[in-house]
Amino acid sequence: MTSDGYTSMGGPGKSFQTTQWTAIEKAVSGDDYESKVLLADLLTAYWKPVYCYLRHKGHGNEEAKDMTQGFFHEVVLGRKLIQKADRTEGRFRTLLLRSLDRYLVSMHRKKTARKRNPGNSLISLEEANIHELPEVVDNLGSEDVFQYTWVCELLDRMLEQVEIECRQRGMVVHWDLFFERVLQPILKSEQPPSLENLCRKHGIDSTAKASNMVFAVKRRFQAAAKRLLRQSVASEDDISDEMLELVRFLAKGRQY
Amino acid sequence: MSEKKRTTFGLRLDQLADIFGVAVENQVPEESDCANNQLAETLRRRLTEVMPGNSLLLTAVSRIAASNLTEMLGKSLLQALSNPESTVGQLQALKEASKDLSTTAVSEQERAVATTIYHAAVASCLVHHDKKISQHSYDKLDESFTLLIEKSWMARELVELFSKARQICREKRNQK
Repeated sequence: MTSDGYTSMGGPGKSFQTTQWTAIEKAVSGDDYESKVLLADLLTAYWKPVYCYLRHKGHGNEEAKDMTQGFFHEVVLGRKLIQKADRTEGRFRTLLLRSLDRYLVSMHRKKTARKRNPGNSLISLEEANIHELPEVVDNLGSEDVFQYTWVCELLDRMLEQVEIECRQRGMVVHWDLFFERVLQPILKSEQPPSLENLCRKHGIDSTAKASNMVFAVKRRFQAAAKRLLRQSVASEDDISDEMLELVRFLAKGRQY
Repeated sequence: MSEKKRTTFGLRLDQLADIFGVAVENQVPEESDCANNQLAETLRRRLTEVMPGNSLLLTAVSRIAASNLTEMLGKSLLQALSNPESTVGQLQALKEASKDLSTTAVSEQERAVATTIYHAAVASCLVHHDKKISQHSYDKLDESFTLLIEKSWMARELVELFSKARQICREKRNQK
């Protein structure tokens, strides 16, 4: 990958059965343990986009980390966001971003110089190892930086879940083929290796078999995408819209 | 990828689009014999799928300005290729998207479909806009259209489109 930066964000591969809206509703309903688990998932998915949004707004590394912690602690976990949550608002991240802007305004008003971090950090600040925003976001606005980071987190989770799934099912070679034939060429902007070469390298009988192995991973990748996108929308019917929204956003990359 | 966690954070938007494209495209697994009827079925499926299910259209749409996006929503590839109101830009985007697809195609079948759509976009532009959006000469295009017309798996609508385009190629050649 062009960016080989390590980050602990993104969380381990998990099977998500709930949407972010239902997570909020469960949190409101008050099951404390379940609330914590679900809110932790929200935190994992959105910490980095919020942080990058703040960095792009001009806040320094430490300040942005601190404000991110404060936002999640006061607004998300403090349930201000939950109280205002309304499914009719559509995408969860739209609500989150709006709340973040309100939070920034209120912070500015209060001129709170004190540390927002309440001591027990939601995410270890040492692990939040992002010092600079990547060059690719230079031409984007702050909201697009949030969106960019969210998409990256989404893709990271998709890839991680599929890789874990492949390894757990003894499909290591399947994953390697997918990585070398599909992902690597995109990441390195190069032509994919021929199936013949991949067959020789991995000791596979035929190109048809290798192709089917790649296909099997692609199907898992598609399933992971749907699974994860389902979380950010209010209903199953909205998944197509969500995909289109992402395509619209990613289309900006063709215009630069 | 396994020993150390990597991230897509830092990749360009077009790279992210390509990875996301893998998640939304309808792939066809490689087959040992690429049976003609299966190929015909695959082509038909590609041609009739509508946005946003059709990944080729998604990729094409992502190439053109967002303002044109809504015009392609709810349309199938076949509608986009047959409609005289499809713009040169839209057809060019379809051509480029299918070109990309043909280079990254996992199977021969997928590659054949991508090549067909590439030529269909070129043919549509010739027929509906009298404009050549390919670097190939009219002679070369005539030859390609003829080869495609002769394929037993070719969709009827595309045979008609290629035939009209081939006629235009011949007229252009004679004008010289």
